[in-house]
Amino acid sequence: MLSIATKRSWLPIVLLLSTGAHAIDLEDHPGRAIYQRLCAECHADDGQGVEALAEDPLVGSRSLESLAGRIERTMPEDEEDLCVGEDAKIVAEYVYHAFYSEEARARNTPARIDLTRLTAPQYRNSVADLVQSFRGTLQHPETGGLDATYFGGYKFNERREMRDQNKTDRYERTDSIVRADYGTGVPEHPESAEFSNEEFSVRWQGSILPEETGVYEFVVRTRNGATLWVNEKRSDELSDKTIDGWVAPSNEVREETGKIFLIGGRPYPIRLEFFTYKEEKSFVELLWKPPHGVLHTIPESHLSPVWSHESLVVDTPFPADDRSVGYERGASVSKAWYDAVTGGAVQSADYIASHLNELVKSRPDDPEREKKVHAFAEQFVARAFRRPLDDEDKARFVDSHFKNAETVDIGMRRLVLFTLTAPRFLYPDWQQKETPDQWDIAARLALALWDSVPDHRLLMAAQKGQTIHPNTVKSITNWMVWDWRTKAKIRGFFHHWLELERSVDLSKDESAYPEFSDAVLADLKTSLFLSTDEAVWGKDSSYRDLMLANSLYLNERLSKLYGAKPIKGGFQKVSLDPQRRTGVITHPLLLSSLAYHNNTSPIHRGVFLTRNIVGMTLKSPPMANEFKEGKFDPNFTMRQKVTEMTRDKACMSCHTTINPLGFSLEHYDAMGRWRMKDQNKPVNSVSNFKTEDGETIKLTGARDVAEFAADTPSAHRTFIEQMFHHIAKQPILAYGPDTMDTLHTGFEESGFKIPELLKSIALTASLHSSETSKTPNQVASNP
Amino acid sequence: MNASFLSRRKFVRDLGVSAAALPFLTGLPGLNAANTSGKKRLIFMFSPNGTIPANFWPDNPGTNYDLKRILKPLAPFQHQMMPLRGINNKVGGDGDRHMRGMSCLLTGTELLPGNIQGGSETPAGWASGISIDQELRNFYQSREETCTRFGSLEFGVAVPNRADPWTRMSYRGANQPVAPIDDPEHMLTKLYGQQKDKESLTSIIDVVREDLARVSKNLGAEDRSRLEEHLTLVREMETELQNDDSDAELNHPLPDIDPDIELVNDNTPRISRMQIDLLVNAMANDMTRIGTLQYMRSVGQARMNWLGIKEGHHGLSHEPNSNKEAEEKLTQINEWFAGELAYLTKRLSETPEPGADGSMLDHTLIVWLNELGIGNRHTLTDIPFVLIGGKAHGIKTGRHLNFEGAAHNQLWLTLAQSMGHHLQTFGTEALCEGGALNLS
Repeated sequence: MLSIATKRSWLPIVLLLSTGAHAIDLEDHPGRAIYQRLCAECHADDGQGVEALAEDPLVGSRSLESLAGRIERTMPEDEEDLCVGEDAKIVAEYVYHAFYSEEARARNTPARIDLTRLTAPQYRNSVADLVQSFRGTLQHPETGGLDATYFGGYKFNERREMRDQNKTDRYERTDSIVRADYGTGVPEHPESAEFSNEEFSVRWQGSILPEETGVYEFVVRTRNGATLWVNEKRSDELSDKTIDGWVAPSNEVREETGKIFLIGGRPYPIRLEFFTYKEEKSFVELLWKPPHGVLHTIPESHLSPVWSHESLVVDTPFPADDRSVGYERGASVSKAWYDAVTGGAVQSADYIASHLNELVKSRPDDPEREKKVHAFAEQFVARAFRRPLDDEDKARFVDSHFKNAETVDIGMRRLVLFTLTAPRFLYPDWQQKETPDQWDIAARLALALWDSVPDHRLLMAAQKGQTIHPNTVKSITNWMVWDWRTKAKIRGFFHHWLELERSVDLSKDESAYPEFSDAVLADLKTSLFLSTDEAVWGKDSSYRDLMLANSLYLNERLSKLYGAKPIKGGFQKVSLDPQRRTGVITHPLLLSSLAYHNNTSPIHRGVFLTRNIVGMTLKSPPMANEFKEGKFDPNFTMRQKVTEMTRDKACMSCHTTINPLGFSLEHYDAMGRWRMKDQNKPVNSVSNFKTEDGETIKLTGARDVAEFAADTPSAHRTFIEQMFHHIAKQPILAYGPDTMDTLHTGFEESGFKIPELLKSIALTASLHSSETSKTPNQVASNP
Repeated sequence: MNASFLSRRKFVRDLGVSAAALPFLTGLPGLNAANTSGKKRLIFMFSPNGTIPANFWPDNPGTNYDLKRILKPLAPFQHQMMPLRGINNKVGGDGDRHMRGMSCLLTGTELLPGNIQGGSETPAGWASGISIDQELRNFYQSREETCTRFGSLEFGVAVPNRADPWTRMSYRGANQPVAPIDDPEHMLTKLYGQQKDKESLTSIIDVVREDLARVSKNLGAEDRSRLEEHLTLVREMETELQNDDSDAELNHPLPDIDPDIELVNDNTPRISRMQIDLLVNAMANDMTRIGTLQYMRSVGQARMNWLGIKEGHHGLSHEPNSNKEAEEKLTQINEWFAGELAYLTKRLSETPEPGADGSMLDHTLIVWLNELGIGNRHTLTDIPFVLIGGKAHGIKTGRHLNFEGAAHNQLWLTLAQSMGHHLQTFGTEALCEGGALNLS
């Protein structure tokens, strides 16, 4: 029997918690008396800490044995002899079960599933997919260049004539990129097609596949005339051109630019029309500058010759989502957010108004138009609210907007504004039902895996009740997880887990690292995501590959810096010495972002490895201590400097963990290149590292850390936890104390297959009913 | 199909993406709404493809001039009007005459070399200099007493969505054409913020609030408090919408514009009136003192079904003089343009000049112009210039003058000087020989 402490008070209720083989009574635990005598002064009765003495709560991820060892060695501060041996073990047991362990925390501050709103990406995706659902399924096309049509031997000055040309005057092929210098000549062409160098024209079309969300700058570099459409199906009078550079003021090379906001992960239609007429020379190149990227020719990997639907992209700027708990979630509402939501609704209403006839499949003079608009409106609301409407809903959410509107178009406008600002749309799980129905589950699955609304297929499955039965719902996640939207969402996970924010606009000391350019940075980002995509989605790959793969994706530019031998052209997978490259922790992008501008940073690298890779908790440093190069002997290696700086005992309580991990990466310079020497001395990457279980292992370098992470439960668990939070946007503890164990076991049994983990997490988050998760505490206080 | 969204996107893009952060950008009156003494405004109205001289030019010169059919719709303003004959577009260089007629019209300077081939002659690009409306805009904006919120507004009616030398007459400078806005909704948004959105938003607020109450009913206290915060935001917005009565600050309330009008050929008459109403309104509220109103474009192929004319305008204009049916239709087309000009004039004449005596027309000089003299001969001589209003400018209208071969650059010098901008040359310098035309 044991009684439990809550953060607020000691409850008189006595509950039984089993921890392993025996039950522990905390109320009369002998450790409690020791704690109150020696520890509570600084750590407070409930372990929450006391201001100015021990501010961090006494919580963590060490094992009981490790915690006991720690207390024995370091506590109480400056009077370490007072609590050793059996006392240390007893007090550790009390601390561990009363508030330190994950289970204790789950019990003491019961995590709950908050009512959350859509995050900014969820809002953008939901709106885009909602409109998309009336156009059919948006497929992710195979990448590889653009479809090109060459027109020659034909005089024109009106664009529409390009389309009317006689078939024999043209030929088609696929071009990997758009970059062509025809000089004073003409494009290569088959004998059958006539080309004069006085005039010819080319149309490139297909899809563009941006990775990140943000403003893209498109640039057409040309001596001649060119028009570019991005995310615009039409090319007629009403089309919205991204670049209109049809008039060439001279035959000199010039840059025409246009900006457009795009949601990453989605395909968009793109079309470039080019012509030259009586000009001496001809040249055209299509480039882009992605958000935080550099201007470069749009690579083959981001183009597809297959046409895509256009998308409604809400480009209203949203305030950053709440990240106070370590992951982004829709936990706060603010005026800026509400204004953004309203702005997004206005933009959507405009878009739908201007595309209404296409969306409802009607024409202005169609006698059925009003009826069609009404039917569309009903479906629009149902899909936005993620469930069918009953008669009352229809009257309230659909009919009311048309009733007092002068025209059906004005009514439609109001309906869109209402729907996209309505709580039912913005708070997908607003009902907070104890037991979710088939529609709730479909909505949760779509949010978990896609950050979006359910698509047609998922709604059909919900209609048939397949989302409610454990077996059928499992098979639903089998296809959902392979959707391109999941892929986009998981890229977001890596951005978060690998703390890639640090890599935004990263620069290096120009004299020490002249090779590190913006172009290299952009290439490294592409390279990293190619690796993580493969580790997640590749056949036979797993979390272990994420840690252990000895390959890098390199292109011509990167191979000169990071490869064993130079390669030509675009990205390809290159195998390297396994002692030099091992998974994401040795990816040059990560190593560059976890470094100073002119030197490595074992502390940044060590902290990252501790928290995000091996999964150990760290307290915040007892004092702020800035790393100042000038303070040290100029002949010191970086390792010597860090050792010197963290020598203090207060520092070492954490740096015994941080430093060995950080030093293991000392063979990689500040831009992630392999090095043998630091300050002309051989690099020393060997340390002894104490695990949480108190075991000491020898780390000789990065591969040892990677292998440790690949094999260690705490590393798996931190990966699972962060993934869970990224997917569900709710605390994992709110889903019951066994959730982590269950997910961990499943992950291990699947051979650490990441798609399997994603499915399990999505199912956990979606099938959850509040009945099953109530902690004993809640049950007890709410009989 | 309605293009309001596209235009708004363009509009937002023009302002820079961050402007979208202001969903409730409110309508602002002109910077100098209070400064009302001695205003002088200028409007250029363009219609394409030349005229029918026999049905346009008066026979008698001077104050007793007669009105032929095309000018008949302007009869009520005969004494405030001045058809100017004998003014030629003498700018030579690259480009066909439609191109030069259009892009050299307000710029008075040659086209740059380029890749755009017309029906004859050499290919060309954009104009090589600033247009007179933008020159005067810069002049007005540089002085506190004439500076307005927009400086100039460029209206279009049925202008095709393409950028080439046939489609642009206003230029900020060499290679910098200014696109006219031909969507009344887009213009309304530019002038008055999202007034229409406010109306729609106001209409839905009750439903949102009602639904919030329903949704939060079954929630626990913690979750309910989030929705209560949400409700507070909804209330705040409602208050903002109610308080944001920007109409009250304006001398003239915004005109009633159907935001969903389709930008299609057959709606041209309605769009034309909306654009005129917006132009007069913007000037009444002193948001601008310089305006252009461009109908279609040079070589425009408007099909005036509303006049019972099925052929495209440019096609008709190529018919030989012997084709009397074509001539009749072209006369009707030009009568229609004159009718639109008459509506603009009427609106200005009926609107009292804010803070001064007389009507807005007394303080506004309207110039009707065309890129050609005669359509089927592609002449750049005897371009049908008509001046209306301009009392405050010191221009003596109510007569018909013939300058017998003056360069149109000289006319722009007259206009500039009448607005207080004492230019001695504009555009191609050689074409300014003889200086400003005397119209006083």
